[in-house]
Amino acid sequence: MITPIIREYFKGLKEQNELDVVIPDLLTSMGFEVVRRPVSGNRQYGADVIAVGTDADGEQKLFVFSIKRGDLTRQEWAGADQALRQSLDEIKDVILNNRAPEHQGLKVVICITLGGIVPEAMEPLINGYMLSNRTDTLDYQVWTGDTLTRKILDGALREELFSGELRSLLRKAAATADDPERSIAHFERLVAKIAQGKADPVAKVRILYLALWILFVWGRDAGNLEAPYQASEIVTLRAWDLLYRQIEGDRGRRLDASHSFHQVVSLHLQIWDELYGKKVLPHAGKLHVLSFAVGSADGLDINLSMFETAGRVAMGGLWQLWMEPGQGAAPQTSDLPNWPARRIAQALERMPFANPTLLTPFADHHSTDLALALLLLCSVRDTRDAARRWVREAAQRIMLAYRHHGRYPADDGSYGFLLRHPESATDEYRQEAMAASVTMPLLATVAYILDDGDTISAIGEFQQAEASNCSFQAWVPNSRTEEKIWQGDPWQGSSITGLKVGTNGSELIAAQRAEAQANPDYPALSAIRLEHWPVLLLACRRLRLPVPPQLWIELMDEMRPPEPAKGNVEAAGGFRGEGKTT
Amino acid sequence: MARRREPPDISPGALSSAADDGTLETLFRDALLALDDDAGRLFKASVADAHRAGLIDLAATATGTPGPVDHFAGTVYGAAIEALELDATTVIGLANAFTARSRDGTVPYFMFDAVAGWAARDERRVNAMLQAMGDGDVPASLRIATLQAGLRVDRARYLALVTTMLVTGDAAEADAAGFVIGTVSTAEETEMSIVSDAISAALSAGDSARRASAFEAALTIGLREGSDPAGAEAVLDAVADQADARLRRIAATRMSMTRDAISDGLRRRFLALLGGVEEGEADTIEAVNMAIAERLRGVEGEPYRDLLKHILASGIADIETMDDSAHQILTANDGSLEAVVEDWIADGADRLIDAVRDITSIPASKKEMTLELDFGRFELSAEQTLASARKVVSSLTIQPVTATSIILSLMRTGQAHAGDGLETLLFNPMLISYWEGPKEYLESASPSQPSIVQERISRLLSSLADYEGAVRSTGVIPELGPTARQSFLRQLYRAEAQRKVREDMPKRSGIMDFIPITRVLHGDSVVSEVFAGDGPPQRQEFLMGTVSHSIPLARLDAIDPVGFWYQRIVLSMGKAP
Repeated sequence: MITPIIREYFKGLKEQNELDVVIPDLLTSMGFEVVRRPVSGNRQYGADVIAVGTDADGEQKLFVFSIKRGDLTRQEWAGADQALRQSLDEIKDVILNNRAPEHQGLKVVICITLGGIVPEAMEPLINGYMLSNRTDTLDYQVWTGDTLTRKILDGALREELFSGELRSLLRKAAATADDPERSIAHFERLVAKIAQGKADPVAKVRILYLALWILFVWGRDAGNLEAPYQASEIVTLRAWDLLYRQIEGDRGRRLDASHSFHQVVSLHLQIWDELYGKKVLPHAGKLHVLSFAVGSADGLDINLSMFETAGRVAMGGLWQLWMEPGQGAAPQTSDLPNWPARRIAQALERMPFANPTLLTPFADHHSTDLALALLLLCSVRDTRDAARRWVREAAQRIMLAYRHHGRYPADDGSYGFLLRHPESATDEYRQEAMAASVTMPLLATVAYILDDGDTISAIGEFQQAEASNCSFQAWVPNSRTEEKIWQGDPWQGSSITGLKVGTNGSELIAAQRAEAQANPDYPALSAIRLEHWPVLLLACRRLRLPVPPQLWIELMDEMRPPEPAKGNVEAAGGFRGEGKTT
Repeated sequence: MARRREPPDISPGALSSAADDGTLETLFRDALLALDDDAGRLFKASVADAHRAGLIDLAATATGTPGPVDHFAGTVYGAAIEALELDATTVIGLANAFTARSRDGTVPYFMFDAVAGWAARDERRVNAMLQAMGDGDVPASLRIATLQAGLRVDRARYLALVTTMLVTGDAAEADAAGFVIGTVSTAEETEMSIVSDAISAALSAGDSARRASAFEAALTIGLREGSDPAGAEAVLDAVADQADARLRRIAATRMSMTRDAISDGLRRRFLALLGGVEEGEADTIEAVNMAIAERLRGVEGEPYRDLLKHILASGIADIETMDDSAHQILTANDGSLEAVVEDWIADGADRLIDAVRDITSIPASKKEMTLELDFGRFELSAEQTLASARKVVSSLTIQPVTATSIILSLMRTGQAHAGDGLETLLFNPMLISYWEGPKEYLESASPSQPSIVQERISRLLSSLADYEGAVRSTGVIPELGPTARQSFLRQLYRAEAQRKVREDMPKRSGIMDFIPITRVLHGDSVVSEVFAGDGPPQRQEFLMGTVSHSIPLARLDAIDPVGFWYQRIVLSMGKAP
């Protein structure tokens, strides 16, 4: 049965920014026209949401919703500052006397909306109030969690859109929220099934959004937001895949697709904030606290977890950066003092030094998390010094670990392999375990951007003298990326192999610039074309794909403008990697 | 309680039957295991009688029985050879037969006494044996026993022969002669003169083997109880410029066998010679270890401690090899341990710091050793103080309490300007790697410290409380933890690793090669018969138990393994990470 799952979901929603955000969506899915949504910080005279819709008697009416979370208590009814009774009086006195002209002729229904129930002891008070105030043109209704559940099941999740199989998957995903692996497995199947369905893309995204909400609330109740967080990444990417064509075509007042995608991203960031903003970042600068919070006595678990955390934290910061005014098709320097991106970057900059395992990636695929973190730190002027230090120390430690057969970043990032790595202290094993590296050229690239010549030359020397058999690589999208990446398929894109760092990094940068100039597929990607670059970064993070060098170019141009071309040779065209493998 | 076996039938008839069956040596063994000492002597005499009577043929038994001669049979053969009027050919035959049957192709030990006893009864036997050795018909290793028999038969004649061998004999003869001369007590002036002249001549000879033989003889005589040390001093002076590995080995061995006090002059010469010992001279190092072990303690032990320090600092040997010396220092209880550790830490050489680690980790107590040291006399600079402290932290990572006690001593008695650096070092990595042991030590040590050190301890403990408090109050964030699948894979991996360790344990342990392993199915003890000396075996019950040893795990090693490793490398160089 899905009903208890949804009922508990409504019961678990907080009043502000949750229940009052969900109700308008519910109304929209029921065919109501929402004319007023909650605005944080504005006094609403008791009305959280106003909508015009058809009542059960078939008559069109003006519905005014006053929303309270959970079960109704005596205190909430009449005892507190913003008690429900007071809100209802304000609606009567203020809202109804200030209706828009087009709503003047409509009968009014004031809906007392609760996430939970009206306890038996409270019923006489409510009923008495409604009876006293009911008129011919003013009616009262009570929408409890049960009512909302029924309306969702009759509306957005009606049988033809949300079959028994989907309901079962959602129920399993929610019920196993405290076991993230199982939960996310069910949820992924659910997402795939919904995406394959026949409904229009906006309706599909609305269902995904609702399902994500339900999982979020269940995860929060279970004290574990891992499954909701991962689900939110999956839903964001799938929503982009479903909606980007319509977003591109959105015109005039009908911005349904853009709005739906915005809602998904908002929920993703809300979950991010619940997990990282509230649980993790307050401890980011405290020595070893997050490392211990992993709850494992094994260095591998801590290393994997810290890089995963750094990548996710950075991703949240990059979304916020993207929302800042003036950002374009790639990250640029942010100088806005009070924007969240800056605050996140300032917390992130302390993480590697408080949790020094972040200075030594054990797997090469950590280059993605590292790139995201460095991209954010480089985008915020104040945190560039931390980025420089992170790059320098990581490079030193990786080279030392490689030299002494320690835990250098292995190409095989599977847990089973990393448990044993390094299994042998021979040159043969080392060459095999680190036959290729994205991490080292990434560090050299960022060192170049940050003008750290010592680190570049150290990496260049290391490549030449000690790791000459290791292929330094980068990844770029190709013509198959668009159709696959948002759906979670990592088998697309091209590797640029044989990158050479050289003594000052110019060869490396020139090769990446040349690729950026020559690659037609990157600018054609929907997320880039429509200036939604965090979506591409999110896909890279989720699929463990390296961050394409193109995303660094704007920052690079800003921080290390390209040297003027000499003679007839184009600065970007003179150097290339050895080859490109698709 | 001793338990004797039922004695076998040892009548002449039984001996004869056993000889016929080829089980005579087994009967020797069984009989001696069952008989007490007096009865055993009578039994050995009865064996000689049986041979005389023709009931058994010991020569035929010796050559006809396969495998090495065991201890019991060897004592029976030895007694019989001494007692019987055997001719030289028979004895030579027996010596060769026993040598051929031995595991390593050497003359069994019982034959040395047997040949010495047999030859000492007739000078012709001595001559015959020496002749056979000269012709290569019998192992040359019997030469010493034969020459000693000769000295008993005709002292003057054979002393002349032995001294001549030392001066003009071949290497094997000179070697045997040197040994024999060392055993000769020469009270009479003429003899002393003969010996002295021979040693002088051999010492000045060109070949090193002869010189070594003479050196050994002279040292043996010079170090004998009641001897004038001038003789030993003179011979040490004589080789001072030509010391080689063999001379060092002889000197170390002789010194280790000398229980008497050694004069200052002799000690100085010995230590000068032994200071030249080199890596790989295992026997010499072992002898030096034994030689200096008994003399390391107290004020007068300082020159010996200097030699030990030189050997450790030069990498010639480590504390494990110098185990007797380490044991003596550890158990001295007179400040020797502190003096040694202070000296080594103040020196700051990597190997000496490692030696401090090794020596302080030896006590098999569950509590780590703590030391209260005084570095005042070394007048260390701030940088020297810090460099030594960093090396101590790096080397004594798994002895955090010991390391903390040393750093605290440096803080109290080292250069005052190093205080801030030492405080930093105590916090990271010591206190944040080990929350309990070092903290408890600092708390207990604080009241006896000067006020400035107390202030530092107070700050450290407060910082640790903040650090620990932040970690504990945050606790575990479940979203950051490993997945269920990862935990499962880890369990599999650990199980596999433990199984591998168990399998490899016997392979890795060299000692296991010599110890047969028996799986015990029931009970909490094992009953065995144990041989104690020459007597019969005794029943003993060995209670089984578990042997365990635990070391604290550094928390930093878990939360940042590469960083912790990197930090230790930098610290081991005496630098700040």
